Amino acid sequence: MRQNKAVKFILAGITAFLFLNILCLVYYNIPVHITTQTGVTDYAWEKHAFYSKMTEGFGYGKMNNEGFNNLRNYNKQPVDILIMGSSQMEGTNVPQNKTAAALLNELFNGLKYAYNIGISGHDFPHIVNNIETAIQYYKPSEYIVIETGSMQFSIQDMEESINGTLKRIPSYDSKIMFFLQKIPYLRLLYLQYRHFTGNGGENGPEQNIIAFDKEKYSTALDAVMKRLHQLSTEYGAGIIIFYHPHLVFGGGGLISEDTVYEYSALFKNSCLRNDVIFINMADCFIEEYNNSYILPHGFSNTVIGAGHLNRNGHRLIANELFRQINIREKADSIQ
Amino acid sequence: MTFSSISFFIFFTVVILVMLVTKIKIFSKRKLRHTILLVASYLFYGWWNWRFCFLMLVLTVAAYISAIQIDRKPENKFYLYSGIIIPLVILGIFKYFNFFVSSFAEIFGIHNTNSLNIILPVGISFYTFQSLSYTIDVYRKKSRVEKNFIRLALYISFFPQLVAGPIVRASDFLPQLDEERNVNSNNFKTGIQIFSFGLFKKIVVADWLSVFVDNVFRTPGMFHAISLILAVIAYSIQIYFDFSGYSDMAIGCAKCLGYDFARNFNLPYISGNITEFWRRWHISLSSWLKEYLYIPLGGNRKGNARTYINNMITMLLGGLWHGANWTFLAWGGIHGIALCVHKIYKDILPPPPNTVRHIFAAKILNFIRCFFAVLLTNLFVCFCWILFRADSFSTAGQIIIRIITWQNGIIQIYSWVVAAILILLSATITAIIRAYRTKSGETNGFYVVLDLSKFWHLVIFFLFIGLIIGLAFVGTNPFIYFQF
Repeated sequence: MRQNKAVKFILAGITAFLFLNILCLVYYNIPVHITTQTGVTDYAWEKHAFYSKMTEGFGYGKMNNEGFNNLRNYNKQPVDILIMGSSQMEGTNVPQNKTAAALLNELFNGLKYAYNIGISGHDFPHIVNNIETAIQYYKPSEYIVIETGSMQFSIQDMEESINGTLKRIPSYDSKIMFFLQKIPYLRLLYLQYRHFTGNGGENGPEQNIIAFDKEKYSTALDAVMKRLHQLSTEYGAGIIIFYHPHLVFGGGGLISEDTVYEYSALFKNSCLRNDVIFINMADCFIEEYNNSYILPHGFSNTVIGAGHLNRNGHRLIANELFRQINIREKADSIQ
Repeated sequence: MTFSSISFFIFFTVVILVMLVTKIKIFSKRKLRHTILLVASYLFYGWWNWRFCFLMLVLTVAAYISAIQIDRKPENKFYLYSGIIIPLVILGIFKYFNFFVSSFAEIFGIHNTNSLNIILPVGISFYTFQSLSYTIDVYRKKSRVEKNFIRLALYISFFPQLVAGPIVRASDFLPQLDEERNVNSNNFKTGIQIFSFGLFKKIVVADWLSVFVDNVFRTPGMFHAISLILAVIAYSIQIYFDFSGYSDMAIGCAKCLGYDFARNFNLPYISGNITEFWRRWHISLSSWLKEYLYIPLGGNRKGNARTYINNMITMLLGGLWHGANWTFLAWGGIHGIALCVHKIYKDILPPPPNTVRHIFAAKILNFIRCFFAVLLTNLFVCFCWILFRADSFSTAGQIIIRIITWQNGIIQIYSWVVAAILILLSATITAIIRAYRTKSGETNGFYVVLDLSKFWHLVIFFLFIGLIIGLAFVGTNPFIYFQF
């Protein structure tokens, strides 16, 4: 009798678990990330994997044949613009056709092809760490676009990124861990656990910064920019860094960018000194807010104005990149 | 240690296991069970701050001595007064002293006033009211005097209701201590389901709504009137789900341990008028205020004018009970005015006779009348919640003005508000349908209590638990009513 009860209890638990996984196929279904063999990023998602995410925004789509969030597969076709960045650029929080990369391709209407290898966890130093391999692999003919949501990095990370020795983000893609990650409800539980322990959001690199030594910081940043400039000259593709700060609410309906001035000034000047194109999206975001009260970050199911880029953010970035590239092309053609 | 914390789950599991041990014959003594529950309750309370335990002990000793002396010499009012004054003085010092001093200084422009550097003990308003009601009930002979200190201390400190109610009457709880109550399979199955129901209300619905509400109430100047209206609706659902969720968890916990508490909410948002709302909202507080404040003041026995004054006093103090802030006082005052207005309306305009002969037409008319009555009541209640939630009059005023003048700003249609409205509507409709099936036709809320011996019921229960864990808001968000 007691044994029957125990069996019923276990079977009911298993049945409920199955139902929960079916629900999670829609609510939170994230592929497993796997170490890339090419080294263009530390990892990529499973190839052709379907994803859906309703925990932050409402995003869905299918990864391409390389495990990146692109509408098209990569079949060695020429890439004009290579986009590198973090989860902000990856854009799994919005429908796949609404990411900045997809919208940029729409704006170019076939004249140029932008390929997005933005992927979660890849902050600016990690991008610099992988950039040469990525350039060599994709051979972008015109631009390499680097996204960053922060201008504060640890000096050690920057120094290591120049040498390509920055510790790579590990993937738990072998045997049991791989199969556990294939279970959507367990992924959701893991996400909840990470939120619970305070690691659920984006890990800002500023967490590693202990103290701000302006001189040392400036030197390290300049070294990174010099390296980027060197790569740009070597491979014949311009480097564009665009920064997209969060907006913060002030009193009386005023809004401003959430940036530490000292860092932003250093970053901007370092870009200028080293011929790296720098785009600060702050003005564009603030203008959009002043005109139509639209914020670039945050979703209808999260804190207002916080977290990842929403559809508007992706749209504004795509428009701004399109505009900046066109301006430069016109200037080049005049010369 | 809140009900939705991991530490509470560990604590509660240990308590349940220890209580199970007391089922073994050699340990099976009522006194031992009560002592264990008392120790657990003091541990639970001491988790916040061990010093609070002494405060509760002082209150208990005061109530114990007063009640025994009242029982011995009912004609000597000294012990009655001391039994009332001591808890009120403690409550006054800890909760209202700084508020009154700062308000007085502000009114008379006095600077450099001294304030007490004390923290508000969690749930002080709840256990103070329980201790008061016990002393008064003994005096009124509505409750027997409790000569066993442990049992009285357990009544005042019983952890399921300790920090946020419901406010349990001695006459309801003490008799339960005379019975052989302990953890058993049936009670546990029911209790755990009621607890889960409350947990869902709190950590899934209320906490997610708080994200939006906090955003909007922090900087209302940024938001469009639509967002502000949604935030007010969201808050009205949040506070209901938060507080009724806590009450459900308290009721569920007590049930697991073998004790019964009465419901604290009965679908307040289906009220057709404000009087009905107060019969359905925080029932244990409303009935406490009515019995120990409104009726002793004279209730409605001394003419209309006194009835209105008594109403106002009760509601103003009820407002102040919620917190030491002028906004709470104003909130209570507006509710008091509304209760008076409703009474006047009822006196002047008795319900119209039913002149419509056709039964179906009469039903339709009645439905339309009810619908608008519920709508108007909810509009008023929501309006009052603005005052309740806003940290100052200026914030509340800003929100009201921005809504009235239909100001532009950020439009945020928060998806959890939509989900919460759907959950609330479906639960309400289900409760109404269930009520129609009963003989009395009265709604009395409902708990979805499944028969966990059936396979599919067990599956649904596990699914529900899985959803709670998966959808829970995992940031820190204390219960709103803890501050009271």
